Amino acid sequence: MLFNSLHFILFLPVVILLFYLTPGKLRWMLLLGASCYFYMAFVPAYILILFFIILLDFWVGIKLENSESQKTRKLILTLSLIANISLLAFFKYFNFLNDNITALLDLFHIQNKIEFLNIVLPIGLSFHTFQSMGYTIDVYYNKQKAERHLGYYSLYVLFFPQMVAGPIERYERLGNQLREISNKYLTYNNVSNGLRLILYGLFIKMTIADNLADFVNIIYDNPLKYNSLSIVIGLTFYSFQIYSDFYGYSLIALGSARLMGINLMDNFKNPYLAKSISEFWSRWHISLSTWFRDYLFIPLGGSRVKFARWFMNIMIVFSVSGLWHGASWAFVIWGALHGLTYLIERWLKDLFHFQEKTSFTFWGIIDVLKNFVIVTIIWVFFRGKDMSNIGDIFNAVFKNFRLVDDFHVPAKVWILLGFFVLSDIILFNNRYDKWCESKPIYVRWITYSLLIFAILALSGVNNNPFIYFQF
Amino acid sequence: MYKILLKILIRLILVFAIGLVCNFVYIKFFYNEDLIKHGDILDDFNNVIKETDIIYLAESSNLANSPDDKDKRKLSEFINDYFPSLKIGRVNKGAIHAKTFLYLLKNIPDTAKINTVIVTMNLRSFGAGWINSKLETPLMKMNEFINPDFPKVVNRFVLSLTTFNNISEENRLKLVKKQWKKDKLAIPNFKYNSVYEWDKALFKTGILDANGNRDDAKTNLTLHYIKNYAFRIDTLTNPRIKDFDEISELCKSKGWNLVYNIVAENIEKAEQLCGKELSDIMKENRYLLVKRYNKNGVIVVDNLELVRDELFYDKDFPTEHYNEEGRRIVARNVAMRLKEFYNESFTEKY
Repeated sequence: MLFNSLHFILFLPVVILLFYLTPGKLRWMLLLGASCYFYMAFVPAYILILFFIILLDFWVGIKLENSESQKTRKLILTLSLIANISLLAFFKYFNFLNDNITALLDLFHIQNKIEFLNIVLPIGLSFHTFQSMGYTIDVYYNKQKAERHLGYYSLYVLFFPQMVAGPIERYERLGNQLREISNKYLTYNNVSNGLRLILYGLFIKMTIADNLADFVNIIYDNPLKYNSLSIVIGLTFYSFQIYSDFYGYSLIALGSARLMGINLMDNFKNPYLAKSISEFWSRWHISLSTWFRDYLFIPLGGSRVKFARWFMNIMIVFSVSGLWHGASWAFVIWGALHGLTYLIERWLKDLFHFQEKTSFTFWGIIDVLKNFVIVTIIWVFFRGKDMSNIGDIFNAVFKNFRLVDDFHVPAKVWILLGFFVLSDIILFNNRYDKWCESKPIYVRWITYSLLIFAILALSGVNNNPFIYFQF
Repeated sequence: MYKILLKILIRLILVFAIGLVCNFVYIKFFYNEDLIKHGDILDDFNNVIKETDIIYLAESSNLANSPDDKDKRKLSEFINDYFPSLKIGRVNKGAIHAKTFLYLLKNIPDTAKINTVIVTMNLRSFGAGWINSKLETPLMKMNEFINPDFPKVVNRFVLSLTTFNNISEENRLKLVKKQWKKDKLAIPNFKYNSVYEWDKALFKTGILDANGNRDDAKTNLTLHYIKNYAFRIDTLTNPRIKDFDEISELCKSKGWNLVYNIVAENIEKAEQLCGKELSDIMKENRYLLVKRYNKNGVIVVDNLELVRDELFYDKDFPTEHYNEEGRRIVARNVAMRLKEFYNESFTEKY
């Protein structure tokens, strides 16, 4: 079920109503049932994969807590991680691996006889497995007590607002809140803030991301047909499309959970107002970057190692992060380029002793723009269909050099984008629901009216699915 | 508690008021541009309906003409020749079906002078292939946009939701195949029970030419005929039946004369390629429609077998595209039935 569907618009109020009408002790069952229904609206059979992950890691958690031998604990965790990663690898990376094996064998004129799989990736599999693995690792390091109620654990993995595209929550945060759902009461504050988040989320997904998507798709479908300025506009639009698409999803997730009194973590904090790549990653897809920091970078030794090892750790984390997004070398290059830029920034900073600037000074703005340009260029590897398409994009920028927009972007789209950029600046280090709380009622209702109008009358009409659903 | 309820009530009223204002602003400043983009057919319809006595709603059978035609006018224009004092307005678009016709008719204002509605009834539009066609997604979107049952801004909003059967080509084909397997042909003493079986068997053997070689062009055409026409209309579940039922109800309530115009199909070719089994199914479906809607007081013009093979100008796909002579034959047949309403205006033309 998609958040921007009629199905969800009917589903959410029914679930919220039933949630508050259901006796506290039975609420986990209601939410679990609703979450299964939500997931099964995509491909029903894939729920079995999720149940496999749930049962495995639930059992692993208890075993880890019960075992006293460090050796046994290590073995159990290793087996659990192998099982989770294998599942992900099978669905997501099998064809990629096979493709590479074929290419490798071709060099020696050997035919690869392994058949390619014709399967659809279960929606949100990368998110579930990471959330579940995070839990077992936390139990292993004794940071988290093992959950002994299968229902609550299942709900932690399946909780419908965040199950298909995050935020990737830690058990400490989400699991413990779900444990308390029997004590949640309907409060005006939760409902109004939840609705504000959903409203703003729908606005940026439906009016910003979906309108920009049409132009981005045109550019990437046939880059050589367009001139430099059009390509630059298309690339810039993609930066805003992916941000508003994913941030929009996250806000709707946060808002839906908030209606039930559950607080999910912020996944974005104005990433395009970052002045460096390191700051960008502390503001973009925060739940994933902190996951990689805590469960990969630190176990690899983090920063407290020799320079060469640290360099390698950074490159490993960013490249794996790229691979997490998609099974292709373009994604790996996308991650690696971020890693490389991060390292260059650190090196320059150490060399010239650059001082951190505040965002809204002249040099701060220059840094923000510089960072935006870098991120936008690197996004090409994320969005490109394949390496040849990526090559065509860069070729088109230089070959068809004409500073005339043959793209004909309507004024409406520019105005909406301008409004979004302005609101992102106004909401710097803040969130729409919190911003509203500090404003007088008439200001709040003016913004509600504008957002409602934009959603009703100006949304994109080509029904683009959420980009991160494919991961 | 009372205070909270009052607070919620005030906000609900405010949201409703915002919705009304949004609808007003949308109609005033954005609707016309959207109408051209997402509902051009309604735009055409609104222009036509102003000065029309009879409205003729059709798919591509009222669009097509052969390059060899001397008179390239549309079928509805030939009909109009028989009633020179009347104005027959036409709205046509390729692949549209009864659902769209229904929404268009619902949009006719009470002040319109129209008194007769002619709606094309295309046999293929009742089949699984057309119902699940890839053209259906844009059609459904267009239908939602022109739906007069909701405020215009709501229709625009629904357009932006992922409400439509926006499915991949692979899944769409799966859906069609499933239906082809499920629907039984119910032909006595015939070796195939479903379209799926018939299509599969014929695809395997192919049609052979005089030298015993597989004739690919002929095989493909035969398969097209089977997939397009080999089905039995289930009046309980077929969505097009529901739409035609609603159209007849609507016309009855508005006091408009209603004519269902069963378009001519290339029965000759169907029988020649696929045998009597296929032409019989097509004829039985036709009888079913004639019987059902005659009973409802609708005039059903039966053109099914009226046009000979050589008058169809598409030779590699089954269509309802006729040359000038074919169009004139159908036009006359329709005109003769229209005479029942407009005897004084009728002029024997050809």
